[in-house]
Amino acid sequence: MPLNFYLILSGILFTIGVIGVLTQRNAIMIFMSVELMLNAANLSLIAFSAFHDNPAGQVLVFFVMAVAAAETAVGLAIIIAIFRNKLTVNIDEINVLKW
Amino acid sequence: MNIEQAFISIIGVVMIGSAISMILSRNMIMSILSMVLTFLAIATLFLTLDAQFLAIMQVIVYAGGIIVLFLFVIMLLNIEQVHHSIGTAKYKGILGAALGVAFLVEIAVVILSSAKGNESSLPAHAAQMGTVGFIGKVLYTSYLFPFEIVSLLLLAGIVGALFLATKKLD
Repeated sequence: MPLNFYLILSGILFTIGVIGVLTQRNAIMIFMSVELMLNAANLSLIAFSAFHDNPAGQVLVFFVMAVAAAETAVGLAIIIAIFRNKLTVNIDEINVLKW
Repeated sequence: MNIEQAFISIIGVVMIGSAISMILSRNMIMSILSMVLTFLAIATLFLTLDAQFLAIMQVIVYAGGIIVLFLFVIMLLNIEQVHHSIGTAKYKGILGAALGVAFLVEIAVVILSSAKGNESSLPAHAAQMGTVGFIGKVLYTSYLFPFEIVSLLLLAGIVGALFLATKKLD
């Protein structure tokens, strides 16, 4: 398969993630869409790495995975803290910075 | 189209389809399960690009760890239904989808307008590049400092998550 096939696939996946972030109202769903975008970026990094014969792309994907794991843990903890205070994860109702 | 290309195309279709079903599903458990399918399809695509180590890492870290974390939080908070707020939601949905499609067109134009990227064969020794040994060698020599920093970041993430999730804010 040519490089362009993987890049287009990755672009479509990233777009689905963008649409999810823009249209979803649930904080956890928005978070999952962000994960989708991270995976799309990973896919294009690995495609470039394989076709250009350069291991730097794969190492970068490894780091992205580690950062994504940390980000998920902290983000879900923040969502739990918000839910404790507001009893909702709908971002339309989470509109105050201080209470 | 030979059998390998057909297989890769099917995997791509599965990936896109399960990602769309993740976005559109009203039941959060169903969208989590669609996300597992998306991650497994991406891992398969990694394998077709000769990145064996990262394919396994994708399955372990994403389809294993992150999905369990999401499922745990959804069940802990007991929010299985996605509440679509009526009124503004439809307007926002159309606008969001339109912006997304415009974004996709932009990406596609950029990718397809470049002359390179149509040769369909991987470099001959690409298969050795994705092994644990090769990645580990690169990771522990050229990228040792970032690797150590990432371990610190993970520690900070664990401590921060514990602090945020256990603290009583009142």
